[in-house]
Amino acid sequence: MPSQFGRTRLKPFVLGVLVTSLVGLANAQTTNAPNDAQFRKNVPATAAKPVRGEPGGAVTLYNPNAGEDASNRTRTPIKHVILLIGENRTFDHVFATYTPPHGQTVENLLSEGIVNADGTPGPKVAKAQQWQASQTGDFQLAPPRTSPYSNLPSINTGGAPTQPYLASAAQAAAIEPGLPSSAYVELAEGGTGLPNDVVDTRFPTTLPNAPVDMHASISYNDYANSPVHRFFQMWQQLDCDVSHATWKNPSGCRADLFPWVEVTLGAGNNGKPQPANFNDQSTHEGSTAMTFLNMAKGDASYFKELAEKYALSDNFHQSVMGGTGANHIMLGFGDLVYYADANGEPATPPSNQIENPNSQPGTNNWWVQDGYGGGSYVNCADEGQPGVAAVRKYLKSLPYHAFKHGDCKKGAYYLVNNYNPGYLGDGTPAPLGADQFTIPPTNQQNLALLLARHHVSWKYYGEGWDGGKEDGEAGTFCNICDPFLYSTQVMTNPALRARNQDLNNLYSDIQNGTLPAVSIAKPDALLDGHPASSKLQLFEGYAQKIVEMVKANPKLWDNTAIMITFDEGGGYYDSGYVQPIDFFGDGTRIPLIVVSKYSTGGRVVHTYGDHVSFDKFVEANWDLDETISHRSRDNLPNPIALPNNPYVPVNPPAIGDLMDMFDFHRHWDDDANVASAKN
Amino acid sequence: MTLFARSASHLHRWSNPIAALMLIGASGAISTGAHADPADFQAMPGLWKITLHTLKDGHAQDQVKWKCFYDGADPWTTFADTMQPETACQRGGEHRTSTALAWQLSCGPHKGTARIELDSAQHFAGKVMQDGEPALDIDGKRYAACTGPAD
Repeated sequence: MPSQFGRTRLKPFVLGVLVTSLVGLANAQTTNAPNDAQFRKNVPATAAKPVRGEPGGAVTLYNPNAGEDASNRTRTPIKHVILLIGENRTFDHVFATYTPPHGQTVENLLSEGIVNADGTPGPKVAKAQQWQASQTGDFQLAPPRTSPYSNLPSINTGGAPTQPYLASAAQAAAIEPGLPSSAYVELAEGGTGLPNDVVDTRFPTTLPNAPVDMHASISYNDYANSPVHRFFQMWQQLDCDVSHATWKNPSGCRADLFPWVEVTLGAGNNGKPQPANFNDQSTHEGSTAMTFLNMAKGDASYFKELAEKYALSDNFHQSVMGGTGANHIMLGFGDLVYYADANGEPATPPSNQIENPNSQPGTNNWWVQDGYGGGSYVNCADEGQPGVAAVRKYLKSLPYHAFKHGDCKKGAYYLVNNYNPGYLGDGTPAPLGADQFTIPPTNQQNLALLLARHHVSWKYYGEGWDGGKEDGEAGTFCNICDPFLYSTQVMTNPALRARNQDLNNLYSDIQNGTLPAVSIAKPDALLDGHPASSKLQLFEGYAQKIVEMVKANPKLWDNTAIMITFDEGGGYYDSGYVQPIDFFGDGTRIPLIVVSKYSTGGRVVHTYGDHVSFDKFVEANWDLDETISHRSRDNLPNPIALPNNPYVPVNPPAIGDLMDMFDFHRHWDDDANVASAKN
Repeated sequence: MTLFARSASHLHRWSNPIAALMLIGASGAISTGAHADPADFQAMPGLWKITLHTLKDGHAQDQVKWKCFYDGADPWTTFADTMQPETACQRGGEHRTSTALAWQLSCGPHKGTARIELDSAQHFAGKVMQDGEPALDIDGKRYAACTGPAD
């Protein structure tokens, strides 16, 4: 009943607002408030001047060398930020059994009682119970559940390699520059010893309905399968319905359909009919999504060490449901990009590239059109389009207005999954067409253009870039990870295009003191931590080498923050709260560690954030007083939350600016120019 | 398929000259019986521009096709299918090494052969013969990275 639902779902928020008004807008930050109150007073909650007429307006040429360089004009002692982006791990997948330093709390599988420290099911394992469901006909965000799994489907090897990709540490070192010397051997170890696409017999074939401890079955050094991580699949896996809202989980997302989506559809079918004799192993995943690493048993030891020494967020999220491309785009644009004509106006993509998550007749959740070589665009302003009505109906049912009512431009087909960017690395427009799976160039506004307008230096360091040939490290450069490869203004301007560089440029910039103000660094496919094609410890090695290199330059270490996060959760289960912001997300939690002199002590920060929080940090730190565009998520306010429910903003949708990952109180000066002069 | 051959089917994504040398060396050391897997073809994954220069019937014209050779793709599908002189042609008699593909064509009453050969991980050249006459000259060059289903 609508009125009943309304009262139920509104209750947490009404209560929240009431209590908040009584206690005086308590903030959720774990930072000791008196320590940084002066700092906070001087940092804008969010930049406030959107660019008019964007996206889709006339292309403006930018000259980053014109005018005075403002890279050193910051509101804090941080003069350089380096964002390191790994691939495909949720917070619970990595930090499932993390125990923070004394005085700190963390929300993870262990603290929730879902698992024990030894990885076995905990006393409250039912919180993570996974269900089967039924979707016939039109796409449903929360399809009717049928029954809980008695046992989870067996895990499949999928694309995990039988043997390691490289034969020896020496050979790995000859190809790959991105690891500490001692770590190269990891590239020559860890094959499954099993064929692809079969039941992974390294794990128990009979699995209880609970998260699966990888450490009990395989080494942290072993390769394993990758679960589905696509847009509509992740919406469905989260099983969101406000009738299930609670005070701690007001979005009503139950996160209980992870294996069901894996085994009924997996990573899409490109419009093909369901194969004969279809079963739980046909999508070659099984219950891969339910696996987690066990930090209490020694997994991810470097990230554990960093979390204990610096600052960790346990409420940071992938900004878009689904995978790599869309999440990197959201980071770079604060918005998703849409299929555009030569003038930047919305246009209609080829019909085979439009998402249709409705079930094919006679199937349970085998969709009409979805996949890398199939549907990936959504005209989300049109409820008549497949899949759109279900998401929009849910957003409308929330007890708050979604950002820009879903942030869907009329007539625009947004890219919600992985397609190639509009430009090749040399600035050539990429070929388009029904069989190319490439989005046309966009002139939507982005972070690089914002920084250029404000004369703040930036670079994107993509390993394997090789001067724009994208062929370094044996062709392992990630083109969909570089958000600026989608941008006409960046890629047609030689000076801006040249700010796309390679990993060795990052190393030399760190060592030579030529690091720009804002750096985004992406490992290649060998080191990015993506399951099956990489391992988390390889991304740990990539991060460790950069952290140690920065620390070795004392001047740089004095004023640099290194942020380590992931593009998305990779489709792994996570138990944390998800705040719906607009049509596109947020999605599951992902780790965020901030390493700097101002982020010490092993604090766990609970403020809600997502990828665009990084953009907000940059805007606040460099005092830009402008957002990327009027549609970008950096227009969202900082969260306000209650001390006893710090994970849930009471002013949704809201995302933080990451300032509370720092403690500047001993270094903060009221005058930004004085802070600038300290360098 | 041997265990090593199965593993090698994934190594192709790192298939620059160094990786190719490693693969060849390792295969000799581990299993002399390891034959080339479809994915052992030593073309670097990425976006390839394939230019088909038509020689038949006195008409010379170039046709350009862009193809993503992505992780796990079959080179026969990515490259050989692109070079069919007519859509009705059937491919048979396939033969492959790590740096070359060769096959026979049957296009109705017309018979032919085709071959492409890598001279580096990022370039190949080839030719299609039909009824004993040159039908196509082929040039393939890698231009950029390409996303794939595994991303």
